Amino acid sequence: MGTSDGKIQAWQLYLLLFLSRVILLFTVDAEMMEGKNLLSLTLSAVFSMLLTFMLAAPALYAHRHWPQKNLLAIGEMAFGKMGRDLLAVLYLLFFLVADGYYLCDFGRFLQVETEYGASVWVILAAVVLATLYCLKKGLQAIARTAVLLAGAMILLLLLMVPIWIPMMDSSRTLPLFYEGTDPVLRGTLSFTARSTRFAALLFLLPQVKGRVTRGFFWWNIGITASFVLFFLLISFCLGEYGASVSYPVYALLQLFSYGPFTRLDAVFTGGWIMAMIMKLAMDQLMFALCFQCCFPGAGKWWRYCGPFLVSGVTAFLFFHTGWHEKIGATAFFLTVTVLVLLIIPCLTIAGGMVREKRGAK
Amino acid sequence: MKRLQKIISFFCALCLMLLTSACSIRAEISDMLIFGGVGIDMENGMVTLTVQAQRAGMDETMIVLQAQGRTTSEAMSNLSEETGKVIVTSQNLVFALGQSFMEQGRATEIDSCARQLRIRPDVLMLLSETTAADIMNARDDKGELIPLENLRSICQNGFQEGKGIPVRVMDWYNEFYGEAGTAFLPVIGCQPGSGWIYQGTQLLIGGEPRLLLDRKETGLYAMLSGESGTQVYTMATSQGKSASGEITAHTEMELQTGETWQMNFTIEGTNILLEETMDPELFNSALQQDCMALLKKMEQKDCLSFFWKKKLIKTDSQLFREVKEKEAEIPMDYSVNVLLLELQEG
Repeated sequence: MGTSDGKIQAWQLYLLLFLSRVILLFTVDAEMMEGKNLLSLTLSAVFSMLLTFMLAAPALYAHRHWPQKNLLAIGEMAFGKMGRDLLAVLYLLFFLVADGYYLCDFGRFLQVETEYGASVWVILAAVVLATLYCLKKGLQAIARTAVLLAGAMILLLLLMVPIWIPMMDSSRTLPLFYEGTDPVLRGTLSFTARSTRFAALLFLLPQVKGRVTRGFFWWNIGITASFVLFFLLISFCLGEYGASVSYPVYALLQLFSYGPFTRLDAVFTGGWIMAMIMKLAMDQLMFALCFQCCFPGAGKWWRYCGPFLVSGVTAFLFFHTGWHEKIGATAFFLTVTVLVLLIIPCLTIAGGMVREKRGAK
Repeated sequence: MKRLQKIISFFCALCLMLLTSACSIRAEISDMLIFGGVGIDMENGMVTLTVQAQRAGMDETMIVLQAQGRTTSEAMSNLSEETGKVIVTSQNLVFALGQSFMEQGRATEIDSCARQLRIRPDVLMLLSETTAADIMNARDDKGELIPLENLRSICQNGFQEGKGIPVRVMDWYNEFYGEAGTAFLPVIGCQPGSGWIYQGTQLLIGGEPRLLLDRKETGLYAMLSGESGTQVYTMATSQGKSASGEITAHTEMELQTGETWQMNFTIEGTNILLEETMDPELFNSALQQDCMALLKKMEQKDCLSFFWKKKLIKTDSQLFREVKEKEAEIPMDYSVNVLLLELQEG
């Protein structure tokens, strides 16, 4: 499935992104929209899809214009080596904070919701070790693993959804616009804010073969459709109760496990662990790229320092709930996402184009 | 060809993953402890789990087992450890709660208990007049355990041909956490050696018990809230005797909002008079008076919202939100109109 030149196929990248995006579905709750009606998240997902097309546009444009260059290479062309290094530092920090936050989120889930309270740190350490191993194996191995995991996850979801559909009851939920349009807007912004994984497009597209833009288009529609389906399931199966729990998808799996699909809550935890490893591995590949740019003289083992630094950020956020909440707030995340996915890439691309034109003259 | 091989290998791997997962811990039926009913009590920070269960593969009789723990999960693990069996909760019929859950703030813990016990959303819930252990241990005059089916029947159909309003776990979740939620639980009492002695309904507001309805009031509440279906209603006559009627009714509630809100209940349907004969008009009038007495009682305990909340959220959600945000006391007036047609028995 991988190619001999170390590249991966576009659909592999999108399956990798699917796993990464699924984490958002796992963590979604009513607090994200500060409302009481999870049904409004269906609209938020659709509106957020439109915004994420916008967020991915600079990366897709850059890939079309400079297929062999990632953001750092374009940055070097636009702003010189100093500019490139500055970009690398910014993205280093970004990957550290984002991954630390997501890993901490997972740790909190383990501690609060599951019965494995005592072993949170063991599980987190296992995730970090697995990430290191993936990092050592490289992008192709990560992509192949993602294909297997995403395949299993999609198959499982496809088998389970027909079991849940008869249990849906529309009388359990509030009217769609019960709290007006504000929760829809807040949900949209919250979803968009948690689109940090699109940074992969800025760094990994030169290592991807195939129809990238068309792939992204269908990927985004597909993932939004599955989100909408899940929000409908949560709203109609759990009803208003879904809005009162921290992890509605987990609650859905815990309560509506029937027949051969028992203990789906454990499957959920396993799925999250797998998705987390894939996401961290993908991000840490990009972290290593940035690290090499900043510290070209560092030994080859230094490129593996990312997961350890992420563990440090995770531990800090885990014990400082206030910081975890500040970072997780939509205002902060949205600012960072827009900066990292839209503003910085747009400025870099513009700079690169100006330099290219001047060079041509 | 190579591509096809890869595809086949991929699907084989997927099938293996799904089919062989956790096969090593799959329990044989003789190793299972199948829960038929679960009761939970809380005292001094400890959870007491009392279950009626069947040791699969051994005999058909139900046994009562008890275990304690700091959490429901721990109690369940202890039970599993003590019996050496794998617990199966999927056959559970009832989920009983002790009165300890009616203490301040305890009702919020029902959710986590039910989830840790992996109780299905369609299992019936009930509240014991004393402890859940008493309910699980209820025995008849011969000292034999009363079948759990009886409990289910009381929850659904009431006690001594009265009326029950069943509450499933999912209903409880939505009523307890819902915006227009009207949380209540069927209450059942029992006496050692005598079986069931009591059935009623506990109304809760904000997780706190607000009003306990007895068996007769439960029937009236069911009638007023439109959950009636068919029930036998018995009332005292002026001659000191009692008159019973098998009522099949449908209730419409009209809500008028203004300076004083007006709730008008119209109970329509049929009535088959049983035992004592009574003038149908008098029966309707007596039933109307009983309904008004219940409404008065509910008004005194601030429970009238049990009737108008759901109606208002559907008809005018904006007004509902305004009222809820202001938390203002609404001047309320009500009337009941009973229009039951008499049918001859048989």
